[in-house]
Amino acid sequence: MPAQPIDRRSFLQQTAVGALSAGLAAGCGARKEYPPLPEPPVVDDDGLHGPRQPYKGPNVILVRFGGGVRRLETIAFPEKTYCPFIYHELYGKNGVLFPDVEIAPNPGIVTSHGQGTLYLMTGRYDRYEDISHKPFADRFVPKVPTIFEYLRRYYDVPEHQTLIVNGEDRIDEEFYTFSNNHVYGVHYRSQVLSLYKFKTYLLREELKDPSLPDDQRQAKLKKLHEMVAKDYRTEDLKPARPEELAGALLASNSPLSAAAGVGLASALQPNPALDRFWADWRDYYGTTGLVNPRGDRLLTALALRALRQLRPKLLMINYQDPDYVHWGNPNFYTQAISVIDEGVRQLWDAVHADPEYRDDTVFVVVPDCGRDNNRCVSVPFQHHFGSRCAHEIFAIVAGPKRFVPHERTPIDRRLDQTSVAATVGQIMKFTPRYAAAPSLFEKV
Amino acid sequence: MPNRPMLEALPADEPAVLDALPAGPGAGRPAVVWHAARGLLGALLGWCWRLGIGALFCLNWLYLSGIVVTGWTYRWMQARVVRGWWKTSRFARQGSFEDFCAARSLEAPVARPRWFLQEHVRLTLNKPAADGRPPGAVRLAWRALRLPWHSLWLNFKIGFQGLFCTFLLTGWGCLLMQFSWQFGWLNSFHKGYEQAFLGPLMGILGIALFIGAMFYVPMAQVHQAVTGTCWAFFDFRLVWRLARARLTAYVGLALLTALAALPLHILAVVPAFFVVQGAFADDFVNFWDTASDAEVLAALRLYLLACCLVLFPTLLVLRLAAARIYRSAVLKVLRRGWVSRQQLHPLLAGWLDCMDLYPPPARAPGTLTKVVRFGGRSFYRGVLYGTLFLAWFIFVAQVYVGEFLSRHRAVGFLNPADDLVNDDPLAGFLNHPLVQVPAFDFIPKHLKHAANR
Repeated sequence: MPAQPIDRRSFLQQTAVGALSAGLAAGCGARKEYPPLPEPPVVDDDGLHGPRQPYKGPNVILVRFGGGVRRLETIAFPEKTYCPFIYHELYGKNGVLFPDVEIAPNPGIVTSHGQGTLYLMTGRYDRYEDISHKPFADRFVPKVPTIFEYLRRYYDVPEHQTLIVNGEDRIDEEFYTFSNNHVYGVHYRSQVLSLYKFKTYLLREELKDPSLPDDQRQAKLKKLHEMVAKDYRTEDLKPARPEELAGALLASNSPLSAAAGVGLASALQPNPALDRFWADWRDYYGTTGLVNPRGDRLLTALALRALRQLRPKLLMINYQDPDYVHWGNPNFYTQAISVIDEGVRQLWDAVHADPEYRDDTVFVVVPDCGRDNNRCVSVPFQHHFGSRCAHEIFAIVAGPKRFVPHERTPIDRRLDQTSVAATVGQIMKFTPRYAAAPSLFEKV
Repeated sequence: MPNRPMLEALPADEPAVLDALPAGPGAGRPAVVWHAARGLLGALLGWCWRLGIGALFCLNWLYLSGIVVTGWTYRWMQARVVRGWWKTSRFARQGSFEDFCAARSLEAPVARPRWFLQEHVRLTLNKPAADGRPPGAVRLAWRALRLPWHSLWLNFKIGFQGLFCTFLLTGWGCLLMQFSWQFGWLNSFHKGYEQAFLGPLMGILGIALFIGAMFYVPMAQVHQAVTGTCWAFFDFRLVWRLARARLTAYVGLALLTALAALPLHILAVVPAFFVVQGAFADDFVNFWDTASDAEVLAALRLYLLACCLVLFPTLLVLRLAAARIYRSAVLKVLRRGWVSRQQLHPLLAGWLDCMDLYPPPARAPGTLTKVVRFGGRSFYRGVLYGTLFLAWFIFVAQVYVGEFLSRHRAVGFLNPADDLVNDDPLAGFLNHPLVQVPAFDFIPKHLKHAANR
């Protein structure tokens, strides 16, 4: 786009107006009204009747290259990339690069992490708002099914094999596991691996001990209640007071509740496979939290263990640490990209060392959003405030040739971030009916 | 300015020079009007010039011009304080302030200091040599060479002294805040749970130190400006008494500073939104996105200059308020007997002497008044100290919010390899333009380099 000429007078006028409006907006918190987005189609019957088929592969590992990375530090300059493995190995030798993926520059489509994650998972843009409009909170509810729900509705995949690995800084994203769509929804939810889940597991286990002194029991019940209260998706299923948790815990251990599977807040839900996973984690790393890897390295460690123990079919890893650059230290961003790159390398190696996963696993790497490219500030990528560059991302799909073409030249056409859901559907052979964009592989 | 009671040698009732001049034969009403209009026009043009240069210097050219602005404002404050006293003296009825000062010393304050040219050009050139003889050709030439730059040098010297003292007190808090932000987040990034307390603790300590310093610094800055000596800044007992003497107004000054900082923080943060779609008109956003680096640099400089046109007058308003509080505080402590004339700085005592200003001692209050005052005062003072703390806390909090929205990484010149930084050494937590260096130079190094390429 060519530069528009702008004279000095209008420059100063617009700057003054902008400064004033920015100040007023900050002070008044005015909410903008946008034209409505197209409504998702209403599907009362998706035609899926009878028993679900067993899933035969391939497996997909969806790497959310979060929180917010630009093309400039990743794919734009091969000799300067901070993620050499993802660029040179995944794209260069084993996959295909889509360098011109965008988050649609529609009014009200926010370029942020929670939103970007849901665009990826649902294949549809939406104007997500926190359930109670709490500032800086991302307690969103997807209206259309996530790729996990599609997979589990199409195929007989247990929920512990559709996994989201989540970080410890974004608790709200723990609860993006299902939509409020009445055909799909909570019955087809995915499960989450995170420190939050580990901590609730520990509390549940400790509360099972009958010799626990009463004061400690009360303290642990209170703590567990606080943690359960963070689950905004099962508001009506949570005990209102810590004392009621004891009864809820008993109920959670009963076979009836386990069979129902949806009768309690997710933190209280029993899942024998996950409980075994956490027991193993506890035995290995202890309970202090000071032994296990930290930050995005923790996500890699969780994902590697999950591959060994839970054998997921669809695994999404929500990396997040590049977003630390919001605080203004630019090396946080570049260093975090390298940490993610190293994590992906470990996952790739683990997959190729495992006969069951080798030749049957596809990696999809895509950022949740881009970042600004603002030449007027000392850290040009400090934020992702909705600039053109924050809308510009990319995608890399890598895996066996029978699933992914190995293209040395990038596929240079403009694509949407929402295409990722349909791409995963195409690879795993399900149709995300509510997704708005076609697969990345679909020819124009 | 040398520390000496320079005015004692002159009789206090000596008529001003202009008073002795006879009025011209044709002096009438039109001449008076013309004279007034010319004066008004001159003042208007003079202030336009001063404000323009002040704003331009706030861009902190060569990292130094902000120091010159500080020196200029110190000289201006000195003049405002002395002029305030002069207006209450009998000399105000005998001539103008300029005449009053000119008749006393070449180093006396001038109502509107100059940026570059030496003050009192003719008097300076013709000043006799040390031995009392008229100046020779060489001396005249040397003096003529100094004329264009003397005020610039004076402003720089006074500014450097002022900032040195200010940073000695406020700098520790700023440094701790800077380290806390830098290394606190570094620890958070690496999830150093074991040292998690270190960042916040350093930050709280830095904030506390800065606020503690700011209880004292505004009054000390005026005291240093008026006396013209570095050591006066550290005359803790007197300065603190002056602050306590006009505590309500002093708290008002802190609140005014916190309020005045808000638009400046907004202006410093606004460039972070220049590329945000929908925040401004589309062509404006497109310009910042797509223009060449040289165009962006030029436009950013223009924007920052516009910001300086807000910063400099704001600074003058705050300095004026501080000067007014100081000059009434000095008279009040003398009136109440909290400070004796001998305890005053000799220069202050000299000024008050030569203006015949001897504030009458306040009448001793009655017993009942004493009791009521004692009871009410402790509560009222407590409220005032609380408000003072709150005002400076609000001031600091704005910096934190501003730095989150747009980090101004500083001291870029120290590390040539680091491009993602402000070239200016004074930005972010290390400088508060309304208290320390009045600099608004937020041009990133990477933009300068890209534009030069």
